[in-house]
Amino acid sequence: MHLEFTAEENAFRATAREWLVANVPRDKRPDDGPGTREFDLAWQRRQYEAGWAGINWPKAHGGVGLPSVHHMIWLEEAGRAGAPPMGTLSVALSHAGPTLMAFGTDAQKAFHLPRILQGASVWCQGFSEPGAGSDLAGLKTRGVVEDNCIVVTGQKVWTSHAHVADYQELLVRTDSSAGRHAGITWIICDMKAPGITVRPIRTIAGNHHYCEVFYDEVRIPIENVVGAINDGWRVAMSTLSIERAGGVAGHMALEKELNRLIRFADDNIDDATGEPLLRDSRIMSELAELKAKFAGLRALAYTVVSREESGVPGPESSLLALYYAELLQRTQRLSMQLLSSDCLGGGSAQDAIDRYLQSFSNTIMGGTSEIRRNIVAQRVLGLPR
Amino acid sequence: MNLLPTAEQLHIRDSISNFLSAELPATRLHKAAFAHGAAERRLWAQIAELGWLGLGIAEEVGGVGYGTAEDILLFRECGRQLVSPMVLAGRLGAEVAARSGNRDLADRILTGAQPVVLAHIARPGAGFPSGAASVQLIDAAPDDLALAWSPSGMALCNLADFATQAQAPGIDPTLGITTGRTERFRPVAWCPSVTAPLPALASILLSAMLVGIAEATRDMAVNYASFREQFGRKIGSFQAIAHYCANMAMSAEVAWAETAYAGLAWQGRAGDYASHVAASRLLASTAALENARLCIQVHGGMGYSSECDAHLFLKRGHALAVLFGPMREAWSALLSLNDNILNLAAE
Repeated sequence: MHLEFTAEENAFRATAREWLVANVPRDKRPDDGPGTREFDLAWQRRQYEAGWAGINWPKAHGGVGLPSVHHMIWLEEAGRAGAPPMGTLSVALSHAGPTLMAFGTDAQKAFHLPRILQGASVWCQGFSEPGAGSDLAGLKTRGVVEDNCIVVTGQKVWTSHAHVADYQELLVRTDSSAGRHAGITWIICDMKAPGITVRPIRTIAGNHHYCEVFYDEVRIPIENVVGAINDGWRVAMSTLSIERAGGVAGHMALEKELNRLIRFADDNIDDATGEPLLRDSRIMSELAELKAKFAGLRALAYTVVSREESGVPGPESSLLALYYAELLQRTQRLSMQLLSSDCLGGGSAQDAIDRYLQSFSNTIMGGTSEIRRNIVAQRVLGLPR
Repeated sequence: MNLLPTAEQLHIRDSISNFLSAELPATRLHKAAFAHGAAERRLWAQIAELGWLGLGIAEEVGGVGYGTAEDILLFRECGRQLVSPMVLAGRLGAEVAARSGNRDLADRILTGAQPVVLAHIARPGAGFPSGAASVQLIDAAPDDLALAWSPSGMALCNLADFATQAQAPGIDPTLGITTGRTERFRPVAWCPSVTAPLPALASILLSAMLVGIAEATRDMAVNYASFREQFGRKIGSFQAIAHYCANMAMSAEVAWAETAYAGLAWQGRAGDYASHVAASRLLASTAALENARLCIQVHGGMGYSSECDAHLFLKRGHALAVLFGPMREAWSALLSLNDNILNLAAE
């Protein structure tokens, strides 16, 4: 057990910091619409051109080929420098890329991986359906093998960024006679293929983060199958179950926000008492507890990275995303409490209100907190199903 | 950077854990004869012989020469088996003696010849260790030394300096509580925080014990939920129970990770170690008390019975959580507004 980074890691950090400070975009990332896509792709291209894309991706796949510790250092520095989030590229970078590396054909890897790293393609994830949310294996979108195609008919929903995506990780049922998990196939769907209709859905935060996607006999070439036909469940689960420390930049950004809240509570007077808000012991204890939890979050992320270096994932990785999501919501709730009547409008509270409303998605998307707790209970603690 | 124990550290942990499960299992505390540190005292020479009291103390001053990592692994195991805080007092007392230049006293503590107990001071005065004070001694016997704590440093005192009086049991009857009062401290050894920040180390080791409680109660609840059946099913298959257990796992893992971080930051005297010490204290106390509460709930009627171990952990958790300074001190350390946790990675 030790905390020190090596001289080489520290040097990497210094170089990363210097580059980030000079290159992080100064314009605000658009909240909605095609602008988000262009903004995210431009930022990814900039990182790629300077040799920072895919830090932990193997060199064989076009990455920099550095260990997880370096990736974490990069994410910490990105968070510190206020770099934009992965945004519309998070499926491509964190999920589609690793899935293709593990299960893709040579042709799929050669075509897609460079485009993902270079900031040339946006991916979305076609998993959830109206009848298959937490119970993903209940999905019904049909895929019929016909000549050299899979013909897809059905509907996906809550698909983040589908309206700005080029490709989709699509799960379809290719054999309805097999068991629930057995007849599913994972395919790469070109979002411009004829027969696809995308309808953006307005969220409670007022933006169009996610969509409904309808498929009317969409013909997808059979060479787009990733893994084998009817083996898609295994492909999807093996990359879904590994949650790495990719959220570290988000942790840093949120901790900065908490520090702003602490300063706000110190600088602003409670109308009722005439004392700084921070002197209210309920506010003080909540801020202190959040601050402690952020320290714990970072220590947990360090443990996950340590474990990753050892090659055997431990219980910490399943807990990290769950802990972060709930910490994020609690921080945003406190932010609203501190805003007090400024939340009515007329002030400079809009960003805080937006972040508060967006935070409701964090305990739902990518697996609800309830499903995540089931996973911890069954796979980490070994409790009976 | 690596927060996982090395193979050697795991070996040390296993040998500690094996010794404790054989010789000092938490279940011993159902019998009064083993409480109040009695079982520990009978094994004291052996505990000293195993090197536990000097595990993280430098070899030059008579210690074993490991570091804070080994210390927190030891005290987590002590927490899991509800070992008397005497071991903690011995570990810290030996270092106070060594740091204050009293090698002879340090040797006597390290060899087990001189037992040390904790003297809790709820409100240490500004002049500590010279002013008057009221103390609560834990598991004390007449010839022990008392280790007294304040943020400004730690002192070893003779029990004879205090007018003592045995007390009715408080929240944890397995701890023997004696109150004492002195008009003027006459420490036999004194180590101010400026010489060595031992109060922070004390807090870290206490956090490790609290993490041990959080882990032991998590394991008890998971074990019970895995075989107890109702409605024809193992109760652990019900989400209500499974989610309690998942929450217990989460609190314990985070509290351990942060305690390890704090211990290593303290050892390296990283600029922000104080806020990490406070964070680990807060997370470990919360995890211990919350997990002990849920452990009782998961055990149902059995959990409310004094025959079940669950209450032993709850009560010890409450007793440990109040030692070494009030939680408000931890809040202040955490809210110092200097963005320390953010800045650490820079150096």
